[in-house]
Amino acid sequence: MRIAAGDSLHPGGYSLSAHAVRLAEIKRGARILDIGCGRCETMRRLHADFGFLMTGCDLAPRPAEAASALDCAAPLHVAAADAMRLPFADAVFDAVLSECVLSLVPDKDKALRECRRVLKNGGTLILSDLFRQPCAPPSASVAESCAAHAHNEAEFQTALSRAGFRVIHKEDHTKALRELAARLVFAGESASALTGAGCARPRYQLLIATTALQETISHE
Amino acid sequence: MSTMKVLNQDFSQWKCTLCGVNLKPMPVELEYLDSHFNVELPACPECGQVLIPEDLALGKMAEVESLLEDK
Repeated sequence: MRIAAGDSLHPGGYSLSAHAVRLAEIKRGARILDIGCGRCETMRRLHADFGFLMTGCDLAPRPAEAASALDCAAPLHVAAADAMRLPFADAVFDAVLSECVLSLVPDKDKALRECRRVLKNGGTLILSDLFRQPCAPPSASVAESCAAHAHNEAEFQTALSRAGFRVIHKEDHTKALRELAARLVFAGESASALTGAGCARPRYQLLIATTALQETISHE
Repeated sequence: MSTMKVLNQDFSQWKCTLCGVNLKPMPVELEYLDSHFNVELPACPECGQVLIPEDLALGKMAEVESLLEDK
């Protein structure tokens, strides 16, 4: 997968991440949380290119080791954590970045509420992920794939509203998903985990959402 | 993005008919429907002519084309 996708393991790679933060007009010096930061490649490059103060979290064991192994001018703050239980105080981040992650989280409502909790009022959620239209359930052959966990678009929009977010921008980047699938094929791996079949074929969307200006949601 | 190795066979015995030079594995950019991929393919180091083996064309490349066409 890394041969096909590089160190930013999501469709669009770092190019899409950089495009997203420009679109969201995130200011230099902003504190950003990268959920599912993996090897911290995106964090390192966003810090170097945009001057953001990056914090990351991931379920992968000891992500701090991956961070320390990187050649970066400033230390990265990385925590081993679950997206449904973020180990951060309320209202500490200017933006939360989630790239091809939430579709794999069992309780999306919980994860979105946590995103809202750690964001300052007026903060920004930058989310790119797999989405599908309502259709017949996916076949058994893709039941365990990423495509099978793609968000139902209408339900996810509702979940965002419930969590206190307002979508201000949406872009389709399905081409990036297809290109990643193509790279997997060239690398000799199966692309079925990303592609699904028929009406279950996912799209890849970038959403920029802001927090509704309200009282900070307390930690539950 | 790094150059992907897409072939396992050795094509070093193949020669370019124009240049008479043995082919070498070289980075090649493939383009289809505005998507670009850097792969390693046997090519002539003199004139740059690239060899695309039939099983690659009918196998991985055909699958990639289908993916990009969203069929």
